[in-house]
Amino acid sequence: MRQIINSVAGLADFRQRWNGPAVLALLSQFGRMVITWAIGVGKSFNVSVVIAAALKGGDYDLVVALFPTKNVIAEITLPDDACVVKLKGRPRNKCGALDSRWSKLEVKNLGLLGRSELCQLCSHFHECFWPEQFDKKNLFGAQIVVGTHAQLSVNPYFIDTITKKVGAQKVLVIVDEDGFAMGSFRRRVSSQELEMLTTVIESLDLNDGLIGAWVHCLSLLTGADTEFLRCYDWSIPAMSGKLLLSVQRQGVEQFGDDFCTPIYSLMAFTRSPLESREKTENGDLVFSLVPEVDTDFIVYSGTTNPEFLDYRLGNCFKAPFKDTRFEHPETRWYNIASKTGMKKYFPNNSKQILDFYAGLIAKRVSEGKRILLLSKKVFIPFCVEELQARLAMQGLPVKIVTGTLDEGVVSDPKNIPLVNFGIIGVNLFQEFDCVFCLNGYFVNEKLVSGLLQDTLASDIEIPVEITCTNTRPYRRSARAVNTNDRIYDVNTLAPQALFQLEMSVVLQAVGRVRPYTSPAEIITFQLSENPTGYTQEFNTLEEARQFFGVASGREVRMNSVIEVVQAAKSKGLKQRQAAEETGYSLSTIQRHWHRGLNTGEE
Amino acid sequence: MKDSYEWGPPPPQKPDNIPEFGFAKFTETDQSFVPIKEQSRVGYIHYVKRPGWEGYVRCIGEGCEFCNQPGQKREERVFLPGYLLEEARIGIFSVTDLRRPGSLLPQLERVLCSDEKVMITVRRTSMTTFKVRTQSLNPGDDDGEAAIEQFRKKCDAGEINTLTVTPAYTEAEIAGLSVTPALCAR
Repeated sequence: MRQIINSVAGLADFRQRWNGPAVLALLSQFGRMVITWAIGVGKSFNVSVVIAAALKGGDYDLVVALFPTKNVIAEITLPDDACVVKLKGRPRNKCGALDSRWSKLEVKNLGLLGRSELCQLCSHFHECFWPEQFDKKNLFGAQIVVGTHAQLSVNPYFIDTITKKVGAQKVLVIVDEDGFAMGSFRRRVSSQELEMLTTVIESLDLNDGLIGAWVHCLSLLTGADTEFLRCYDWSIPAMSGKLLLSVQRQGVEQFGDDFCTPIYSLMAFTRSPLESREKTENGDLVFSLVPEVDTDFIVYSGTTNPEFLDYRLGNCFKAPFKDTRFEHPETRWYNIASKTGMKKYFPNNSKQILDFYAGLIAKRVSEGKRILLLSKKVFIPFCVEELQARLAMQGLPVKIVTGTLDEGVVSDPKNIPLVNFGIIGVNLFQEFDCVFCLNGYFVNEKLVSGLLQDTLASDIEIPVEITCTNTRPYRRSARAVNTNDRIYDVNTLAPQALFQLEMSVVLQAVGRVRPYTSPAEIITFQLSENPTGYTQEFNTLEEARQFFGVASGREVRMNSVIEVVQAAKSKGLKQRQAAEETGYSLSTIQRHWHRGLNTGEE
Repeated sequence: MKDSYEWGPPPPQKPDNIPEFGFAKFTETDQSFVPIKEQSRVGYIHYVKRPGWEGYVRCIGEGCEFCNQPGQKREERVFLPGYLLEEARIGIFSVTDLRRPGSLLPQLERVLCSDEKVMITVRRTSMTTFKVRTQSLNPGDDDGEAAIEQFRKKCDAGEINTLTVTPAYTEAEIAGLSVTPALCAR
């Protein structure tokens, strides 16, 4: 049933109703669900209360909670009385001189060797958490394991690995945001890596039965063609830690910096979808590893499409809140549905666009409003310079700030932050009033196809194209190029993939000012629908300029001339004298002698 | 017992001679059949692997002992019966619900959406992809009409069910099986 939460009291009731036990009761019906509450509704708080309720109620003996960034982890409140393990990245600053050597090993998947050899040399070895972070003795008995999405990217079977090490029976997984499901699942093991690994394993002088099995597997993988790789019957044995370390050590000894071990990927090869497996022309082995979500699983994301999440993870996620909409009655959401915001066209149109925004920023600043600016990363330096110049010309005492922003910088009302669209999980701008997108956020066919088809080998992939309507407002969509291919799910889900890559990113960024739960003025520059609708859309920048009553750059520049001419006139100067004093030509003086200022308003 | 061999084409099959219906598989060679689309059903199965036996078992829904076993996924299938022209019998194809490029179900949907009586030829082009072609039937072609009619009648009378082509074994029954039936194994 459709429900709209659009009042403070309604939101408070909603938050109170969906406490930890209530969410868990819902989960018990579905097993896997995605909570699609809008940004600002209280997902982070809910994560905290669900974790607490999961352990208190006794239904789960382990909660694994994964977040997009470590900054978001810092905002989560965890029960004081629970045994919590927070998984962290390597403390690079403490590694000192060993850091560069460590980094090289990390890139090559030689972490075991790093822990064994580099950490032993470190002066912090005895008090450092890192060497034993993933050891069973560190994890056994933990009730809450917290980390970032990166854990799932590195090891798609991370949940299974952790569950075994903790010794848990009933596990609840909570993931904040859907980024873990939208990255690439594809793995590539080059023919050189296979060859090196075979040489290394063959040369090991160990009495381990697995050596023979691995040599056999590697020989089969090296010789296999695509069809053979797609057999159900592949079996690759797990390698013990001891053998793995020997392989890494021997590999570096034999091949130095060239050695890279694909063992972890190869051990997971048998779990890859058959249709993802492929042997390329140069002998590389390509396949996909999809994160496993077999246990009770909650994804919190206000911008995810449940159907698309199902497609990516191959599991049925229920979305019990898909018909619940959150909106603040005073929020105004405008969209400029013009192609001038696209990367290709922005440089040629930036003058008019930035003139418009400079005028609007000046208006809003004079009203005491706080503004957050968004731009594509590549245009940020240009936008900072150009906007700053325009605002200075209008005599506005503000500064466009960018880069690493902390609370001190953001809280200064003289600063106008300009950030890129990739911003996520940052709560610094909650009290801001406006978000203006200086340009649009768009992706190309290659990215859409990659997201849709990274679990399909190249012989199965179908070409995908992005289309744009001819009618206003412009709308972009994606589909299979060939009409014969439009019977497949790749075609059906192509528009959702495009939405996920474009509009979801914009919604996340805009969400930093909490437009669904507090009043905000938003201007986006997209060729896409907004799930919550737009207050008004503009087909051109000119329409937006007229609506907001902002003078064009030409008008602003003309106004400054008029001001000077009028000032000279009011001093009692004759036209010829005014021309001499101001430096403008006599014809310019004559043109503006009797004119008033142009405000841009109709 | 026959004591002489009759030369010439085999006599047309009579309804009484229709062999039991069973599984049919798509292979790397062309498999042509006349679909009986109104008797197709959606069913659920489990792939069960036990020492000495592995194969598909029909999910009986509520009370299914495999549904609650860890790692035991319930898979959806469309069971499509058809008259197999080569073998002159009714066979049931088990079609996965995959809709990836090259998958069978979307291609079959495209050709089965019309009411025209057609012969469908399917060839497996890889482990996960298929090629589907259709051909109109000419008057006089063997279209399995009698066999199809007999199959329909039995289905309508409740004597047979497309879904029962997959056995609904219990764990105890599987324990008593020793050989994996070739058509049930992947």
